[in-house]
Amino acid sequence: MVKVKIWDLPIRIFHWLLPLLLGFSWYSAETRAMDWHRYSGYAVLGLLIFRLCWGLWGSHSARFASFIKGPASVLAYVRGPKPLAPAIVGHNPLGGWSVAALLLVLTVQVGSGLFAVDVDGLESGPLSRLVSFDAGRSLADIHEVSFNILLALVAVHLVAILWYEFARKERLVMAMLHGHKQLDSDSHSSLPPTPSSLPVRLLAALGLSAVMVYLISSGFRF
Amino acid sequence: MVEKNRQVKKGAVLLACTAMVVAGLAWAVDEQQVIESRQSNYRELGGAYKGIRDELQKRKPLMIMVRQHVDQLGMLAHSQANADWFPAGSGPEAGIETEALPVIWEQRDEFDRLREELNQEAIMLADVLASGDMDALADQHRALGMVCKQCHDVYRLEDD
Ligand code: HEC
Repeated sequence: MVKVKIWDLPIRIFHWLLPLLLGFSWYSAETRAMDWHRYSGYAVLGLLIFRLCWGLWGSHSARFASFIKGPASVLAYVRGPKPLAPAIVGHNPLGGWSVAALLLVLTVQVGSGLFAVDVDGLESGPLSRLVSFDAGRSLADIHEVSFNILLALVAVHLVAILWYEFARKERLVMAMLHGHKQLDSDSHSSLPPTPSSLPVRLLAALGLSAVMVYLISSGFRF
Repeated sequence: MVEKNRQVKKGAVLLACTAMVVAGLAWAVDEQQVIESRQSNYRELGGAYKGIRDELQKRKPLMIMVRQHVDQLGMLAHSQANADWFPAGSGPEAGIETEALPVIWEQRDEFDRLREELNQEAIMLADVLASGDMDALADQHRALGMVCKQCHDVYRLEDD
């Protein structure tokens, strides 16, 4: 057996902050603590922008190019593994699309919130001045619908994790905590080595996220 | 003679039925118009309120825009207080999509008081605007918004 690193620290932090912030966002909206809801939304926005950057220039398993596969790969995966095929490190072809779907709906969720207006016009997203009242109301409706879609995707995600955990005996939850996976020594496809420029790439992603969140949350008014 | 009487009776019944159907339809159309136009008026009220806020958030608000939105808000708030946007029968029982709650007609006095309060706040908003104090305008704008919320919290169905 060998231990291979599959999830880097930034991805793990991103992953676990997300459910915390989504829970808090839901709670703050339910209790009409709209200042907190906005702050929480900005934090999710930051996470999302970071994730998009990391999907472009982060470590191998975080990159969209490494896990967004064509329909043929997805079908082959669903039909079952070929004997002697190398074990998958990172997202499998089906899981990759589930990640993409989650990120997409999350983008709609955060994006609609930025422009949403509430019924009495007292509370609104930081970019709502760019849209009409009626458009802001429609985006508030979309914000609600997309949250329900997000919940459905989260449910699918959890069921899938449980299935892998118990039916397949794959310890996905632990792997997302410590970042490693145990594999038979020669059965895995070799991962490209971590590039030495990773810290610079990380700084670039964090910096870009911070700047974007600052600009958007201030409504591009400076 | 008997035959003719019967025919007259038949005709009368038919006429009565038609009249009832027509009246019913007219009534429904009427309710629909009342409900839809008050909703569109409220959306315009929301637009005026938001328009003021959008300007106030700018570093240099365009006064001509602020004035226009304050005027429009004043007109709508006046109409909301003085015209009957909520005649009896224009609640959920009309079978038309509305967020107006039956409690409006059960606590009519309190509801009417809030309608008038909004009107008064709008008049004050115009006065503050005339004084030219932009900070006071922002405060008054917020105070007025609280009346919208106060009324919605009790009399409007929250759909989420
Ligand atoms: C006296 C009570 C009252 C006040 C004050 C009030 N509203 Fe409303 N508002 C209502 C009711 C009741 C409805 C639901 C009407 C319906 O669905 O038929 C409503 C609905 C609305 C709607 C939704 C219209 C739609 O598309 O269905 C908007 C927007 C709105 N109000 C904005 C405002 C704003 C902005 C203010 C303050 C400037 C305000 N309202 C003040 C009672 C009030």
